[in-house]
Amino acid sequence: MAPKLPTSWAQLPPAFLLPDAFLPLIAKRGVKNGWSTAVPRSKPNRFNQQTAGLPTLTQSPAAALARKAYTLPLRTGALGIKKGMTAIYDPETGIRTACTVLQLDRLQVVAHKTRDKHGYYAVQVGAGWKHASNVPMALLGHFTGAGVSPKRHVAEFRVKDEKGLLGVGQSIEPDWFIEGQFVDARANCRGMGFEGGMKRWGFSGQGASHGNSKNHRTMGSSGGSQGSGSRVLPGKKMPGRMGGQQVTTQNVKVLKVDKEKGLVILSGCVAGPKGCIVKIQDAVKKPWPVIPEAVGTVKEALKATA
Amino acid sequence: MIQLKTMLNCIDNSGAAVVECARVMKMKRHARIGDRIIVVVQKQRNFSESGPGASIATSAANKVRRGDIRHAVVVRTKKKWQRPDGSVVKFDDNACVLINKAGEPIGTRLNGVVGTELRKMKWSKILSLAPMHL
Amino acid sequence: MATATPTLRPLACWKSILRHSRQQKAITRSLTTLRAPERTAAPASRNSLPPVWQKLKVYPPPPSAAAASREPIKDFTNDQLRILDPTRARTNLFSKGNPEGAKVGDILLVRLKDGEPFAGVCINIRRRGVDTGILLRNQLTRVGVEMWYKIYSPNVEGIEVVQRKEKRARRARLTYMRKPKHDRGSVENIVYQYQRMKAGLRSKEDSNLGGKKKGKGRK
Repeated sequence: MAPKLPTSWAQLPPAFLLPDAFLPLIAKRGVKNGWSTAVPRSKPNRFNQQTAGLPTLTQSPAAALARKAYTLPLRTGALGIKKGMTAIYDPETGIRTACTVLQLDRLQVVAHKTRDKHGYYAVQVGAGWKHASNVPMALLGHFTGAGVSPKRHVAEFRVKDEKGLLGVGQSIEPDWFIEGQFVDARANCRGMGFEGGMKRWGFSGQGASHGNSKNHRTMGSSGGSQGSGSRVLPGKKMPGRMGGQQVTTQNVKVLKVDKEKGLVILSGCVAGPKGCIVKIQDAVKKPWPVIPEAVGTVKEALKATA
Repeated sequence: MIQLKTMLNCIDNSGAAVVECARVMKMKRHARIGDRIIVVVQKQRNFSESGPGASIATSAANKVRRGDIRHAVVVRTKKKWQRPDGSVVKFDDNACVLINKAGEPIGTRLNGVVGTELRKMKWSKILSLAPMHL
Repeated sequence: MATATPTLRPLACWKSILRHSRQQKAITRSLTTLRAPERTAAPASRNSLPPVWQKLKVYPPPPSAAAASREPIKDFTNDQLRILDPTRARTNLFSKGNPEGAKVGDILLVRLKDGEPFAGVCINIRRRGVDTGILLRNQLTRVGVEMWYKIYSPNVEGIEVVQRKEKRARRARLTYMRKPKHDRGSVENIVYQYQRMKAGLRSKEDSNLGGKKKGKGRK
C-alpha cells in the first residue's frame, strides 16, 4: 500500500516559494506508469562526463601511455642487417662466446611521431638506400622533406618522451650502442612453410607401433563431440604456416662495436635468416645504459633536439 | 643423459660392477657428469684374484651387495658435453661412483678416467681418488 | 516450334556473314602492315619528359660503412685469427691445400694451457673459420675418450703431429674407428716414444746450439 502523502496539496505554499530541494523525495505519481519525476538527464557522451574528483580512468590513451612509460626506452634503436654467426674467444679465460654479426647501413632518422600529432613518441629510422625511380612519389616526398636519401628499410622505435627524439636527418652509427650494454633484438624468424602439429605446436604424435595405422604424426583429436558443442573451438592449434613472425630476443649483450665497418656484434643468436632486418633497442628489462661523455655525436644530437 | 633404467659401470672398489639408475636427484630430467643419482646394484664385482690388495678388496666387496639401493655420482657419460672454451668431451661408456648419503665415496680406489666437471660440482674427493681426469 | 525455325535461320546467316567480315579484316590488316610505321614522334616526346621522380629533389645517400666491408663475417674472422693465430701456424697446419698439414688419421697431441696434454687419433676436422675444430680419439684406462678441440682456442697452447698416417685416409671422417674392429686403442706408447725422441733431440740441440731452438714440432 502506498504511503499517505504528508500534506494535502491545498496546504502547500505556491510553487515560486517552494524550491525543488524542499520537496519531499517521494515519487508522487506515475512511477507505475513508466515515467519518473527525476530531473531529466541527457544521454552520457564524451562531453558531458564529470571527471573531477573521480578516480582516473584506466582505459584511455593517456592511461595507456602512462602505463607504458616505465618500459619505454629513453632513446631510439637501430636497424641492422644480420650477416651471420661466428664466435669470440676471451683471451684470458679462453671462454668462447657464440655471436651474431649485424651491420648498420646508412641509418638515418627520417621522421618523428609525437604525442600531439600521433598519440605517442617514436623515431622513424631508415636504413639502406633505394634508387629514387623505385620509390613511390608520396614516399619520395617523405624522404625529401626530411632531407634524407630514399631508404630501403624504414622502421619505428618508440621512445618515452620528446627528449628521446633524435633530430631528423641524424645518422645512427654503431657506437650508438655501448660495448657491454644489453639490447632487445627483434626480427622476423625464418619461415618453415606449412608444418604439422608436432613441429608447430609440439604435439606428441602417436605411437610408432601397437597397431597404429597411418597416424604417426597427425594432430589427433581436435576436440570433444556432442557434449562439447560438436565444434572446433576458436584458436585450436592445428597444422599450418609456421615461422615468419616477429621474434624478440631479450637482453642480448653487445659484445663489440665496429664503427668503420658498421658492425654490432651481439652475444648469442638472434631470430631470422642471414640478410634479414633486425631491430635493436636498449633492453627494457635492464637498467638504461649510461651514455659516456666520449660519444660526442650522440650528445650533440640529443642536445640539438632537447 | 642418465635417466631411469640406465645401466652404468661402477668404477670404484665398493664391490658393485654394474648399477642401474633408479632416480635422478634434484628434479633433473637427465643426469650428467657430477650429478647425483640413486642406483640399484645389479651385478657384483668378483674379487677372486689373489694378490696383496685382495684382502682389502674382499673386505671392500662386502660393502655393497646385489640389490642394494645406493647413492652415486656420475663420472663419465656417453653424451657429449661442451665446455665453456668450446671443447667437447665424450666417453665411450656411462660410469658412476657409489657414495653414502653424506656424499663420501664408499670405495677407496677408483679405476678409470673421470670427467673434470666433478671439480666444478664440488666432488674433489672423488677427483683426487681417480687415477686420471679429463 | 513452328515459329522458332524462321528466327533461327537468319542467325545462321549472320554466322557466315561475320566469318566473311573477319576474313576481310585480316586482309585489310595485312595490307596495312605492308607500310612501315613511322616511329618518330610519340616515343621521342615521352623520352624528352623527365621521369616523375626527378621533379623532386633527391638527396644523395651518406657514405656507407657497409660498402667498406661487403663480407663482414669474413673480415671479422680474419681479425680474430690475427689475434688468435698471429703466425698462421695453425691455419697452415689444418689448411686443405697444405700437403704437410695434419690429416684425418694422424695422431695429434694437443697441449693445453691448464691441464695435461691430450693425444689421440684425429678422426674429424671441421673447418669453419674461427670455429675450426678437431676430433681426437684415444683410450685412457681402457675407456674410449673423444675430445673436440677448437684449434684457435686460447686454451690450446700447441698442436703437434705425433705420427702421420702412412696412407691417406679414404674417408673425410673416420667414425668407423669407434667400432671395436677398427679401434686403434691407446696411442699412449706412440706418444711416449715421440716425446722421448723429442726430448732427446732437444737435449742434443741444447748441447750443440746452446738451446737456441725450442721443439721443432711446436706450432
